[in-house]
Amino acid sequence: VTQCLVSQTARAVRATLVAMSPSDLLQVHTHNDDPGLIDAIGQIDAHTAPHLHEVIATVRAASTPATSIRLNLSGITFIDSSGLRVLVRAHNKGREDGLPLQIVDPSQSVRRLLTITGLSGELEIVES
Amino acid sequence: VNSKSSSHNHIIGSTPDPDLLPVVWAALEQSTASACITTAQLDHPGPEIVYVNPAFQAMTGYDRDEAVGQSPRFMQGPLTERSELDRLRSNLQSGDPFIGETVNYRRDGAPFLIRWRIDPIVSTSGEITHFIATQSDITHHRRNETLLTAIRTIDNQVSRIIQNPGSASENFSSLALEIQNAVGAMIPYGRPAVEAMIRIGNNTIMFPDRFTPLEAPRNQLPPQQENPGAQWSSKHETHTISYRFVSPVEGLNGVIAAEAITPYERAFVDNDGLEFLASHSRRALANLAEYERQRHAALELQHRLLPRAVPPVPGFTLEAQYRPGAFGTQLGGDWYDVIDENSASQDRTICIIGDLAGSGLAAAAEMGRLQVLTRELFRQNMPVPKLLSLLNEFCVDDDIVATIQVAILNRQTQHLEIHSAGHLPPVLIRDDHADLASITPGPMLGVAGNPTYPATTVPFHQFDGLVLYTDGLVETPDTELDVSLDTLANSIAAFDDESSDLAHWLIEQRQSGPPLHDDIAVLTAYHLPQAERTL
Repeated sequence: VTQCLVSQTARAVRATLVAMSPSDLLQVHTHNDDPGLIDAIGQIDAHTAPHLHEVIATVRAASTPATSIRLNLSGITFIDSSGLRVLVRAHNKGREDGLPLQIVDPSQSVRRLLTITGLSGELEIVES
Repeated sequence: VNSKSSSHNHIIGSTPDPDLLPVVWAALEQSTASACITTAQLDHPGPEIVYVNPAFQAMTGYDRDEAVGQSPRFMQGPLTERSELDRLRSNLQSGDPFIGETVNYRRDGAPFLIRWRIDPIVSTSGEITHFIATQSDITHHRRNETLLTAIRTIDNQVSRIIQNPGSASENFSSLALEIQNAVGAMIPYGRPAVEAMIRIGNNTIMFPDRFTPLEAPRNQLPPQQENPGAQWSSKHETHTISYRFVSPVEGLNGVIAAEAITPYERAFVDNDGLEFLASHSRRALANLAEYERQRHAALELQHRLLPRAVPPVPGFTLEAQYRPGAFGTQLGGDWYDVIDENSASQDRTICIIGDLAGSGLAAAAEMGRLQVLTRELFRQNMPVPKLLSLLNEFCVDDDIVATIQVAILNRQTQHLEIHSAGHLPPVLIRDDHADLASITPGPMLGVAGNPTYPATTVPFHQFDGLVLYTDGLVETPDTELDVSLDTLANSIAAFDDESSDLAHWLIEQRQSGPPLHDDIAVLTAYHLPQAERTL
């Protein structure tokens, strides 16, 4: 009975963690037919930034050919300094390994923060 | 009194098929569901048991000869709910089936929770002649359910605290209260109680405020009653059930308990479940303590890295405030510093504010390195644009991303020189106005490449003021940044609280707004020789 209870408890705890996942606030999509493209929708903050960072690292490490990492930020409603750090790291890494970061169609709030933090002159921003 | 059942959807009895009778009998005998058949006599002395099957005997411990001839009441006891029995009677009187739950007692006196269903047995002539009761023991099912709910309650409270923490003692008390509620749900009798004590740093936090450790656990079961019915009147003696948790490593000492429990209630308590709850509570409290310890350590480090007090400098009045963020150990990123140079060649005060992206001890440590390096480069009289380029290289190499703003207040020229690496624009106070400085920021630190950092120079006369701040003061997901910046400038213009300094007041204002996740640093400078401030 105890064993059964412990596993039930573990399941309950896991279910809680899944329910609280940052994916509620930020959705990140990749595309099989376009391996360099990443769509991010929602908020990038201290909660969700690690998830975006992981996805970018996965795409970068994938064997499928991509010539750049294109991060579509048209669906981002909020971004803070944790989010900017992810972008800056991806930008720096891209200069090292030749997979440059392009920020595609940044939303108004992303664009504004990039300007105010002086990043719009440093990061590559493209329109799709 | 056998009642007619014409108005109910009973299956009217059919004539028994003699060929099938032995099979039906065998089925009833061999069923694993407990069954009990009584007469339909509802008035005194009540229905009488005429048949029980072996599954009933296994569940209750009573043999068939012991059960037959008795009233079903013989299995009831002090914890059997009277209201449930009244409902049963009124249902059966009106010919309705009855479904309910109650506590019954086994032959050895052990209580158990049954879910039972009673249906009338109707004869071919439509008369209710008997009742058939099928029962299942749901004690374990209900206990597991209750325990899971209790554990979930505690876990949810830990999540809530970490997402929106108060002071360490508030957090600890709210968790202890939730544990007490969980104990109350597990033992619906007596009074639930929790006492706990935890050491964090040099502080000892107690719940309740006065910690009086209970004596050794008194959780032995009272002697089993051969026949609980015979002892129903002895309700005066009460028991305390307690489970202690002590962990010297985690600085934790406490007990969960339920007091004032009668012996009958005591016998029905889920001991294994309570023990599990106690150990889960210990883990939850220990996790909270660990979280508080990290928070405490990061705070301590942060406070030691920041200047204890802004030094008095000739010609300017400076004030600074730092407030850690609320989310987890979200602190360690923001800093401020003041360097005063008062020599023949340089007569100026350098105000620095910065924000390093990241949280926890790592961010606090990185911030410390960046702060020391910045100070050292200023000591070498390095021009600010070159200094920022060097800081940028340092950040790229060490994988640090940060913003920094340097405001140089020149006493001789009465000018203010602003250099910004990705930092939000400062607010300038002049006459009755407060405006965002119009600056061209260089990129934030940590960006690979060869960025340049332009400077902006503005006059800074007597009575002028300057507010440097980090993004925690203005950034919220629900408001556009530009709107927040305008609001900030307006509230600075409106500030006229003589009892508070502006830096402190701004942080208070922000704290009364939406939940604060990020940390905040504010550094203000007035061009005033005296301590008084005038806008």
